[in-house]
Amino acid sequence: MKKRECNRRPTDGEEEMSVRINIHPNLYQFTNDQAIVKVNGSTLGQCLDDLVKQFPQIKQGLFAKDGKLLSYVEIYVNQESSYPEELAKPINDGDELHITLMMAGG
Amino acid sequence: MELKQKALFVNLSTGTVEKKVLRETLRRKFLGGRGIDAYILYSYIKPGIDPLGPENVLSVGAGFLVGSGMPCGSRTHIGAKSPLTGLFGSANMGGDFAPEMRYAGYDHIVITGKAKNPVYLWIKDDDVEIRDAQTLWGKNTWETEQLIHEMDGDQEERVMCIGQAGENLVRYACVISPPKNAGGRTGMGAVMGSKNLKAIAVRGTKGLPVYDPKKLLDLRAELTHRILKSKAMIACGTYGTMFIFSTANTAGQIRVRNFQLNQMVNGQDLEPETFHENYSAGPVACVSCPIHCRHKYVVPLGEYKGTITEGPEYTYLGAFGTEVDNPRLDVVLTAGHLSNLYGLDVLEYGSLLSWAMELYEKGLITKEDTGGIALEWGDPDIIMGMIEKVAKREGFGDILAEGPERAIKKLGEDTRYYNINIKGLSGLHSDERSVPSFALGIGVSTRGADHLRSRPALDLLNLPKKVLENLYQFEVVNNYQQYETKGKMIGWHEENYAVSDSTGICKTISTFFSPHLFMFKDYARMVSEVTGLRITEEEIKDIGRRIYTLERLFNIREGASRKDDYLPERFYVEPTTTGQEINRGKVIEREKYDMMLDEYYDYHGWDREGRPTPETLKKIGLENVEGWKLL
Repeated sequence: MKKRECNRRPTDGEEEMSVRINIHPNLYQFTNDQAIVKVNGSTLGQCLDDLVKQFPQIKQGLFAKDGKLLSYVEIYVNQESSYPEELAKPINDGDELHITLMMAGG
Repeated sequence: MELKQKALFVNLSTGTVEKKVLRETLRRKFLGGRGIDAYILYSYIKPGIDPLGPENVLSVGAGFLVGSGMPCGSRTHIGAKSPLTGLFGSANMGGDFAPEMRYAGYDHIVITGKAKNPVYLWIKDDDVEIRDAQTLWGKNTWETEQLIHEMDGDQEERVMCIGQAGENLVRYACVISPPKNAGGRTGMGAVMGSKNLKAIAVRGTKGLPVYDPKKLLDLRAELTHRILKSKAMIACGTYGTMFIFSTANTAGQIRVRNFQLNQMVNGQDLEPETFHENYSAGPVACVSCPIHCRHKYVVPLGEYKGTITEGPEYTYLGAFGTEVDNPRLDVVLTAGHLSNLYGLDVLEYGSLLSWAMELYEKGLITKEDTGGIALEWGDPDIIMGMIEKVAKREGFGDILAEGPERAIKKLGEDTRYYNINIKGLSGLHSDERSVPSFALGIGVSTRGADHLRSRPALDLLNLPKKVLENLYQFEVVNNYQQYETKGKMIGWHEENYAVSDSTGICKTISTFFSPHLFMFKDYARMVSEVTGLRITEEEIKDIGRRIYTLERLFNIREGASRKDDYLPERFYVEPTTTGQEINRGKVIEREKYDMMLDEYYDYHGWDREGRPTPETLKKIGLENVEGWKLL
């Protein structure tokens, strides 16, 4: 399995942050096979918006039609689940996010 | 509190009934439910017996925390030597049967012998009778329950029974507690049928004494809050166990057309949202369950159209959907109801029918073999109609009724390659070729190709490595396509689920779905605070290992060894072809599978043939297993 990292440079006026998102392997198809993507944002919602900005196709793998996270998508912030705050969860510089997909397989 | 609960021994040959108190020493070794059933089966069943003969022993066990008010404490375990595999037979169902057993004073009901004519066992607290069931023979499970209620004049008694499949000794007949609670796997319904035991009806009015009522209520509130904070449980409560179908199918981890494809591209109708929007008539729950993972629905087709029933489970989508290449949810829902009425294991049926369809497609069997039936993929009439033929052993159904190994012998060795079974038990609808840990789990399971002994779903989630290592307490390779450390992972889950099944707490709220749900330390705390039997986390880990090892010993005594822990050939030689890119082209690599197997044996303290070493047996208190004092 490929394990590449995307180091996006902040655009003008953007303050550089080091929030890393670990992508679920089943979503690599939307991130050009990148396992880790760096994003900006002070809430989980903003971080995911930035991820979608970089990789628009990943939106379908994360969000329901109503804009909430899909029922089987759970995001971990460091070692804790973001549920139930989810998109409103505050994010700090240096935090590490994991996109997990609930797929027990039977 | 429960330490005064009894085991009820019923000999159907002699008509005698005996009650024995379950010793505390036995509780400390095996808790209850699946654990004490393992002890009973190992102690009372002589090796080499015919599973469908009167010498087989059927044990129905309530978990140690069932009916106590602990969340999801509802499970009934049913064990016997399996007529399907010839090995350790084990089935587990939810609902409300086991709590009622406990309220009548019994934690285990042990059936031996064989009745001359059809009977049912009637229990009301201290009163126990073997009653005539000749008028029930030939009835389906729903009719049986209703007739028993009428005969006994008691709508409140709880019933577990067999349908026509069990009567006809279909080797994968299940036990049903209507409307849909199924002790599904390994043919426990056939064992009941072989004993002429149509049903057990129980009514308990004694309740359970509580060790410390305040602590129990506080603990219940705390644990319920924790369960309902889990996103997995919210999804499960909304969509049922089907909620994982979309991700598994998108990934390409689903069996389609038996084992030819691993993704159903036209499976949109099987999505949980479709059921939720178009069929669900609201959620229902087992005793003490705050999740409500099952739903009511109206049967959409056929003879029972319009009947309100319960379900469906995730496994229905595979057995009646993807495996047989049927994209219609209405057919799935109807077939699920029919299986429950006739009392058939859904997973076994779906796997065998899809195998037969592939054989027909490839010309390995023809209409001459099938009695003129064209076994075409996705044909609703076949999928629904063959259920009755299997249950009644009519025509080609009689061949499928024998289960995989015997059906292979009847249809020819050239059909073996296409059959997906391990130790004589068919696999479910998941495709494990891209997930080595899952593959090992079904390979080594003590009851055959089954996921509920160990499935380490956490391996698939992409959790932070530290979360996993805090849980397992050993280093893990956090990549579901890798083989390293997965042997240990399977061993850990086997032990955790053995404890879960012995407490009777549904494993939906265990580490099956989330790292934040129940594991060893939680079970130790519940047992200690609810029953007053002080057990540490370390002791409860040993209990899990002891139970699993004893099941292994049962199988070894019947001739099983390392050779039986491997996968069907197709797993090694046919690469996956569909699904997401990362899951294509995957096979299980033989050498690496062997490496996992060795690591798994090492974890349990077994030798390279998978036999527990003398040191291991001594460490977990099984060194004198052959000379045990019987109950």
